[in-house]
Amino acid sequence: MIPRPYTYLSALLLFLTSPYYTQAFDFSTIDVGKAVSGGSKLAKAAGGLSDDDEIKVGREVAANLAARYGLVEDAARVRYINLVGQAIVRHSERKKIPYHFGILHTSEINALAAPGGYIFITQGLLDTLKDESELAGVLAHEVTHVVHRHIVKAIRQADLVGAGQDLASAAGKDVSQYSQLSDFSINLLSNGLSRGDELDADKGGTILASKIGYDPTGLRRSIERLAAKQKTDVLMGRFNKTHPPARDRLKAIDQTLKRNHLAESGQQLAERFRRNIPAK
Amino acid sequence: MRKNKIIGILLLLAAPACLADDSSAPQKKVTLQDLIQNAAGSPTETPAVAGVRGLEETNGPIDTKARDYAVIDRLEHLGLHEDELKAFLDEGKLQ
Repeated sequence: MIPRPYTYLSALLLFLTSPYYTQAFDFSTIDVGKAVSGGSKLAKAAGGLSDDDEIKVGREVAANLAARYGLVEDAARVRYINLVGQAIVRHSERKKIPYHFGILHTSEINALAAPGGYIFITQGLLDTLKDESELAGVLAHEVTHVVHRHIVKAIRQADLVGAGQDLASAAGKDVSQYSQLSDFSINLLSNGLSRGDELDADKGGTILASKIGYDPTGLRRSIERLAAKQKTDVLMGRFNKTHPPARDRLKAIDQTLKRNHLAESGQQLAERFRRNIPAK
Repeated sequence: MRKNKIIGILLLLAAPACLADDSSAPQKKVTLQDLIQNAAGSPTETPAVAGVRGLEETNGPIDTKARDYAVIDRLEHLGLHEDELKAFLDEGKLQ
């Protein structure tokens, strides 16, 4: 006579080892190697591209902008833009990557931040500015896009760098995928980041400029001036396409100024600006 | 006791048969990538883009393959010195 507990136990053992059970939970379907590498990619996906990858993609985007528009190569002017830019970077939360500031040779009115610290302002936008605090506000807006990795976030949202994918990493082993990232970023800059990211950059840029000692209303004044041109100036087509309406931006900046108790104070440096960027 | 044996035999016969029904359904391998994609949202989801407001596009189609590396090389080698930046900040009474 078999005791009752053993009867149930043997029944259970037979059930667990039956072919149906092993098929339903088929461990052979799990690729262990993939799971292990997937773990590291999960970490990568969580953080987005590595800094090196981001810089490489950004360099491609920068070279594309340079080919399409050309860069102003007036040494004094480029140096001045970079001094203002580097002053901003010193107070940013992402100082480990190198930043480069260039002037795009076009009368179009716009400013752009490629991934990895390549930042551009057009000669057209530069011509509308009145002082250094406005320039600082514009560049701080672009630096905030890089600091908050807005393009990298968009790349992830488009699933171009998923956990199951091998990014064409540092050496650019997979040229097609690498090129895909660059093309995506170039098109994104042309079509615009999300409205939320733009407003985030306005807020971040306003605070960042104030940390250096610039008048924190510089970005606000530049947007307000552009708003007057916005409806009539054909050179603002792409700017309008890639940025939210001025009223929304001004509202977001006003809220930031109020919440952070930032008043119209600090340096505007109109004379130094005009010395380096002569009026048209 | 006889009743227990019958229950045991019934268990042996019935349980695998139930699972056999499940196994007839098509099985999809769930990979780590699937799990991550589910967590991150649809793979085809594209970022929201601020629309055109009032004005037409000024430029035509974009040539995404155009490159000028030489000019970017020069920009990268601009070489600002820390002393120069400090003097710039001091002159403007900046931090």
